[in-house]
Amino acid sequence: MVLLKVEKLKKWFPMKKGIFGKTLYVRAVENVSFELERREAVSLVGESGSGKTTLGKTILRLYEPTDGNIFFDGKDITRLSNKELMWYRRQTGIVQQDPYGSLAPHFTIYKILEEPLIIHGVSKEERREKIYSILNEVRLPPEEFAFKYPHMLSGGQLQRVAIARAMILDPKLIIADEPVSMLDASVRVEILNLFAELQRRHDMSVIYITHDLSTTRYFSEKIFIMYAGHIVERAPTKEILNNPLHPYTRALFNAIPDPDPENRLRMREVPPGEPPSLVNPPPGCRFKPRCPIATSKCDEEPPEYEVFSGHFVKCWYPK
Amino acid sequence: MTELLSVSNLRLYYRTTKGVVKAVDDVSFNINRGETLAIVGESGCGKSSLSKAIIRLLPRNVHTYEGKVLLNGTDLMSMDEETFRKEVRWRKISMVFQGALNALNPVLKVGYQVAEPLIIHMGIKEKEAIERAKEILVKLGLSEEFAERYPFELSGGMKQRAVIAMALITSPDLIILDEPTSALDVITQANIMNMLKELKKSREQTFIFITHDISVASELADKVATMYAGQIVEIAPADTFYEEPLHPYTQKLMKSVPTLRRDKTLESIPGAPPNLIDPPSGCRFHPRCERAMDICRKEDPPIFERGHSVKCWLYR
Repeated sequence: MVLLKVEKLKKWFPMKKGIFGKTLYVRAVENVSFELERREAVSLVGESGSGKTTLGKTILRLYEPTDGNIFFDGKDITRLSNKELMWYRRQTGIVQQDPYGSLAPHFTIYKILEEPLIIHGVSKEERREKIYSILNEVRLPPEEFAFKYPHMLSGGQLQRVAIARAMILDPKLIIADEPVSMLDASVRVEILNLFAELQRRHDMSVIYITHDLSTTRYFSEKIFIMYAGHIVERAPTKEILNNPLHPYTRALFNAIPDPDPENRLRMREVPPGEPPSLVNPPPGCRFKPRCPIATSKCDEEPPEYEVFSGHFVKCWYPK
Repeated sequence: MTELLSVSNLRLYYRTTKGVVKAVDDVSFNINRGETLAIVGESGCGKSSLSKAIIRLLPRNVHTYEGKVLLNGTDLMSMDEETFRKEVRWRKISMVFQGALNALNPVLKVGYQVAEPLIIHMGIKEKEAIERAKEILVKLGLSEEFAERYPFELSGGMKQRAVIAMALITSPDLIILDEPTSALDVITQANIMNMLKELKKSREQTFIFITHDISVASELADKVATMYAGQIVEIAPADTFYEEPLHPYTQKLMKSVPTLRRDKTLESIPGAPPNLIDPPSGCRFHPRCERAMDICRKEDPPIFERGHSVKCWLYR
């Protein structure tokens, strides 16, 4: 069953600049379409500036979509007013990258978790019950942690609080934006495992936003690859890891080292250059300027081909 | 191969209101010319302090700074600050600091900033120094015109190249790279690593490469050292380090690293690193070690030579 359906979603940010005061736009997300099933975990992978965070925040209606449609549970939420959005806020949650920055430093953990419950009118007893139960679930014993302040916790513990907060209203969808990229390797695994466990137990759908392709296999059933505002490839995790098809996805694969002493003896085959400016992106395929197999045809925006069942590639030469 | 740097029993402690922090505690290693030593460890293990102890850029609250550091046989620790600044820092040992790409001066042209070590430390005239800066920039894959640009006109990857150019321009014997790619995207990181590999080959450049990322370390390292709680607990040639790590901490670290090309079960390391004010007795890893024995709680293990140098009682 489909929980979230995104159709030709577009998010442009206006930038007052240019000759004669003409408004320019940062075209952060363009023409993005996909469906997310109930209980499904998807990784959205891209480099910084690829638009992955913007896409996540637009889906959550933290940004106004410029164009396109978002359906949640069959309901069009693209243009809901702030008042109507209360319902949607309860269905969704977000975990952000920097736990030090995203949790109020002058609130106790209890208060941090209580805030969303108060806003949504949950009674005092029920609030207490919920807070204690969620703290137990993220394995921060409430007796020990409920009345501590954020600065007394380690990065990993803070991220557990952030997860608890995102989950406290029993949402159906959580968007986790680089939840482990600021943590050490040993803690990272713990948080990812915990998150995966909670996702299954609570029947949540999750969009896991990350720049780190190597953590995705432990977490998601599908991977979406984003480049310069477009989703260029999406497929089941195993399929894409064994058979990456888009030239950008392949470049990404070639660039990532596994721990292997042979690495020092070989050069990596990676494209030169950097992602394009999103103010003035190349017409057509945005990877064209760096692509080893591009032709003049790529000046037109490629369609999304379904090369194998469930494996979509936005490229004129998908093999 | 000739030995370039030899460090023995290096200690760097800081004074804080809570007590003395033993950031670097009895560290010894050596590096041959042309070799790269990667130092891996989690945040707070003392790896950045170690590099600062070598290039002697110390904060005011130093409590203890002692040990022996020989560069090309010259004793650096006995030098006074003035001599060290004039003859060693930047001339013989330079450093790419973590996040340095974001510390470029926004109002100075990139060419001047790359040339600055030559002007300040070598007394070379500005015009000539900037010419040399252009040569280096070209060598690192940027064109000459970058010398005329300002930092805001450069992308992250370009700025990182400029910062590496700055460390390279005095042709130092040793360059310390502190997390040189951790702020960059993976493709940019791969490009920078390719460039560093090239330098290793063409100039026989010696590097100390500090990183939290064991995978990235393997891109450059001939030798790898694991650091834990202010100490080097294992040091070995890259080949055997990756294939058969000996120290329980290194083994755990390897198991916590996700891999792209093959599936494996990830494990976390239970517990957290100790604080460095009052580290655990005996082996500092023993509270988190599954294989800890009685002796590990009581006595600090010496370094055993088992092909790897390993600071663990299991190899007694």
